Amino acid sequence: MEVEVRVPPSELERFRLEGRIIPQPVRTTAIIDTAAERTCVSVAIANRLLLEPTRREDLATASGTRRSGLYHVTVQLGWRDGHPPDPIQVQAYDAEVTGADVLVGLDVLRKGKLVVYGPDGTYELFLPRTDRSAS
Amino acid sequence: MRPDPILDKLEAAFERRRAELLTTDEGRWALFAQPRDKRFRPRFLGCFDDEFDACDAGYRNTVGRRFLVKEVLEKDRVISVPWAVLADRQ
Repeated sequence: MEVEVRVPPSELERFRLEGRIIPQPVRTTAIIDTAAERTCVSVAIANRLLLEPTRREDLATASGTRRSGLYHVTVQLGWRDGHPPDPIQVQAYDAEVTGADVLVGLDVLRKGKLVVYGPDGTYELFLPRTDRSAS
Repeated sequence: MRPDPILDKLEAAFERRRAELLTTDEGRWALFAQPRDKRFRPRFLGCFDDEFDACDAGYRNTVGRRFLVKEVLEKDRVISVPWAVLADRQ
């Protein structure tokens, strides 16, 4: 799934006040993981968006526990030109995700409805409209 | 993850106040800011019901400085991401 990851509006305003470079949104690939409690982004994405962690927490993975930084971002899932999806605010963990830059976890999926069509190998993800703008 | 001495100090400030915050704000989100004068300890700016509101307050009130947003709990949560993330990859 294509996803756009952005710095949230309140942090963008801080970037402007600090006279810092305004990072461009990053459009990349995401995978859905119904077993993941929270959304993760790669360290490369966090670095490209010039983000600093707002806290650190332990992340339990298949191969052990790792300390991970959390980053406040907005994600727009299922990106299509001309029909940008609504932004969703998340606190994303930094982690190297196998096969993608973003892992969409239950913190996002619980906001909507995920329907899997098993025989077709397809799915639909329905997310509610949000009232927060992306920029 | 790479060393972050500023976040280390902010986390230490949270730990010093954790017991006190548990009596008044358990389950809420505490906001601590790096001091303007680095000779001083981090400042506690308040608690919020929502972590995004705490972050927004951090971005607004700590221009040019770092901040920490952390849930006031007796023990920190460990979040489970069991399959697609490896512990030993950076």
